[in-house]
Order: sequence, then structure tokens, then C-alpha cells
Amino acid sequence: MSLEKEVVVDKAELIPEVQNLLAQKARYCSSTCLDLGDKFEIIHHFQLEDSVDFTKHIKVRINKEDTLPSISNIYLAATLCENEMQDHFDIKIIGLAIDFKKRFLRAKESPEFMLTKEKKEEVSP
Amino acid sequence: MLPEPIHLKLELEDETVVGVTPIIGYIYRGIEKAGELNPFRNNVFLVERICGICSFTHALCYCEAVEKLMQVEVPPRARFIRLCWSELSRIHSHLLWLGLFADAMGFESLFMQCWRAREIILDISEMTAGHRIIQSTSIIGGIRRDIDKEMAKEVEHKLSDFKELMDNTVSPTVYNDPTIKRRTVGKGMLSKEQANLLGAVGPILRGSGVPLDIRQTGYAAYKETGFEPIVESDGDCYARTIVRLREIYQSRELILKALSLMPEGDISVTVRGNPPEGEMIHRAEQPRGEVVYYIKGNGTRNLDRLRVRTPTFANIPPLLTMLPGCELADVPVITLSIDPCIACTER
Repeated sequence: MSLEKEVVVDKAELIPEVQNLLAQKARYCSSTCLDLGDKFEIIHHFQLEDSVDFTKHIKVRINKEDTLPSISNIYLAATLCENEMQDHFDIKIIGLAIDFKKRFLRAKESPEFMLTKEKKEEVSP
Repeated sequence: MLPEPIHLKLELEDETVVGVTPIIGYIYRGIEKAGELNPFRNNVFLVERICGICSFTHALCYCEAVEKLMQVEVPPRARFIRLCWSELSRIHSHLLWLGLFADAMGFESLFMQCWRAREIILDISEMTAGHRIIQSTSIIGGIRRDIDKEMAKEVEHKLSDFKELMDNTVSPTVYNDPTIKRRTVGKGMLSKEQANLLGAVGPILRGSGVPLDIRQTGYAAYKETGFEPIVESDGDCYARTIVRLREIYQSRELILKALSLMPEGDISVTVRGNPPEGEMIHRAEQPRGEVVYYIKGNGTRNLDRLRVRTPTFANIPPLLTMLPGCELADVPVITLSIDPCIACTER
């Protein structure tokens, strides 16, 4: 089962898509990051103005070494979620409205990037 | 006085706040990671511990997300009782907040009256669920404990005492006391447009005139009981206080309605079959506002991802907009007006 009303976009289409949602007076709800092994999947969750039920999920997948454009200059509310992603996944986000530099929730002594998946060792036959 | 571990770094010009940076991270517990390591059924107990006050709604939202993903039909009686416990937690949370808010203004007698009224609600929780705050009564597939007819009558009786106490003490004070108005009216302004754009939730959003409450989606048994959000339009600390006060009365009515409409029947179903597979997002209205649960299952007993966006997390950006321009002496009152819960925020 996948999310209802999800839209998968390329990295280059993310900002225009979010600007389009702003023009439709959508409300920013949350963002989720997932480690898919060789890629990160980022989902931005929005609610459109006309119905409490109607949410829209914008999904973007990037290679782990790639950067992700921040949507926090369009929706300031996204800045905390994006900082949290940096803390937990070592994802490189460009253009954050407030950048806590990977020290938003993590202290110096905290484990690094604890939500990334450990690479599985290849087992020889 | 702010009984929460958040550090607000303020920039001041004389007594006026001109800039603010929030610093958190003092109580980060890694609960989302623990949610991947725990079996998915045990996560109910884990998510209840995200917050000591809205614990029941955390469990409810997580259970409903898993139930939707596994296509489990929960018995109607369980949905009605879930609504009752959810509203009881809203009442005691709002009264806890109002008491602390009064205390922050130096209004000790109002603090005591709020917590006195709250005790009645906690007694009802203890009687019906066996515990005052962290109940562990919601499970995947329903609930653990029933509310029988005799107990329902006792709940109605206690809620009648509660209303009398509120009518005679807390409500007239909040509506009429000049000290409260002087400290809250026109303070911490947030317009309707700002509230929407900054992603505010709960009483902050509704206190700025936006009629949005996730109970309108009809989860648990809100579809059967009916629900209309409470809205105030002034967008200041007083409007947020009035939203919460009116919600206390509304929650009482919802509990009474749920008890009268509650059908007979089972309170849980046995959940069999494969563990959850796929992704699901579910929302619920906690006392502080909308909570968002995202889960992704891979067909094993451990989830691939558990993500929780809590209400205070969403209300920090609006707070950063409310504070600049205010007097230093108003910072505690404005900050408390979002009912901050940093345990929730950091998870």
C-alpha cells in the first residue's frame, strides 16, 4: 500500500511544485526522510485549503551524495523538519532558512546519523 | 517560569525583543529509531511515552495507522471508548496548561482551582482505564478495558460535578478577571494568514480564526458524534486561552454523547495475518494540536520507518513570529500560550 495522493517529482521539479502549492494556499504539515539504501527518499506532506481530508505528498528521491534544495524559504515551517533530517540522515540540504548545522537535536556526544540504515555485509557463498 | 527544557536566545533593544533563536536538544531520546527496533505491536507502549500528557492520543493515532495499513476493522464500541479517553486527556491537558499559565502570571488561586478540577478528570481516567495518565488501554485491534453501564453512570455524575466546579470558579475568572486580560489581550499576535503559512496547529491555529481540527476527519467515533471546531479570531494569547476553555466544555459534551451513543459489542478483534507492509500516514488531534504519524512496514514484525510530527514541533515557527516586537516581560506568557511540550518535540 502506498500513500494516497502522492506525487513523485525530480529534484529539479521540487521547488516549482512547492511554489505551486503555496499559490494554492496549501498548509505545510510535515516532512519525512527514508533511507532506501543507495538513495534517500524525502516526502513533504501538505494539506490543501479546501478540505480537512485532502493531503498531498510530494516525494523526491536523491542519490546519497547529492544535495537537496530546501523548501524553508517558501514554507518557514519546514526548516525544523529539514534540520532534523540533517541530524538523522547526514543529508545535505541547500538554502535552509535557519541552519543548525547538524546540531538541532543532536548533542556533540550523540550517535551520528542514527536513522540511516547500516550497510549489509556481502556474504560470500 | 517555563517548566520546559527549551532555550530561547533573545536579541533585545532595551526591553523589546527584536530576534529569537530556539535551542533544543536537551532531552532527545531517539524514539523514532527505537520504533524501528521494537516489534510493531510493542510500539504502542513506546509512543505513549513520547509525551506524559497526550500519551493516549499518541497510542490511538499509532494504532489507527497500523490498523489502516493492515485493513483491520475495529469494533464500534472500541472507537467510542477511544473517543472518551481521548477527550478526557484533552480536558486534563488544557487544565494543566491553564493552571501553569495562571502560575506564570502569579495567579496562584486560579492555578489551584484548575488543578482541583483536573483531579476529577484524572479520577475518571483511573476509574475507567486503571491509570491516571499513561493508560496503555489502546491496542492494535481495539482497546483493553470496557466501560460498563454502571461505570458510565458514575462518569456522568463526576462530569456533572466537574461542570459545576468549572462554572463557579475557573470560567468566570478567565472571562472576567482584569489581570488575565491585561497580561494576554493583544499579546503574541498571530494573524490568520501567518498561522496558515507557518503551519500552526491546534488552539494556536484556531485562536487565529482558522477552523481546522483533525477531529473533523471523523477518526475514532467523531463521525458518529459529530464535531465542529471551536474558533476565536483575535489571534492573541487571550484568544488561545478561550479556545482551550471552550474546548474543555466541548470535550465534556463529546464524552457524554459518546457514552449515550455507544453500541453494545466487542471491544477488540484479534489481529492475525502478515505484519504491516507498505506506507501509511495518519493524523489525530491532540490537546496541543495535530499529530502526524507516518509508518512504513516491510512485512516483518519490525517497521522500516516510524515518523512522528508532534504539535509543538509545528508551533515553534509561529512562536518565532509572535515574539519579535514584544516586551521582555511578556515572553513567558507568550511562550506558554503555545502550550510547549519539548518531550514531544524532541522525541
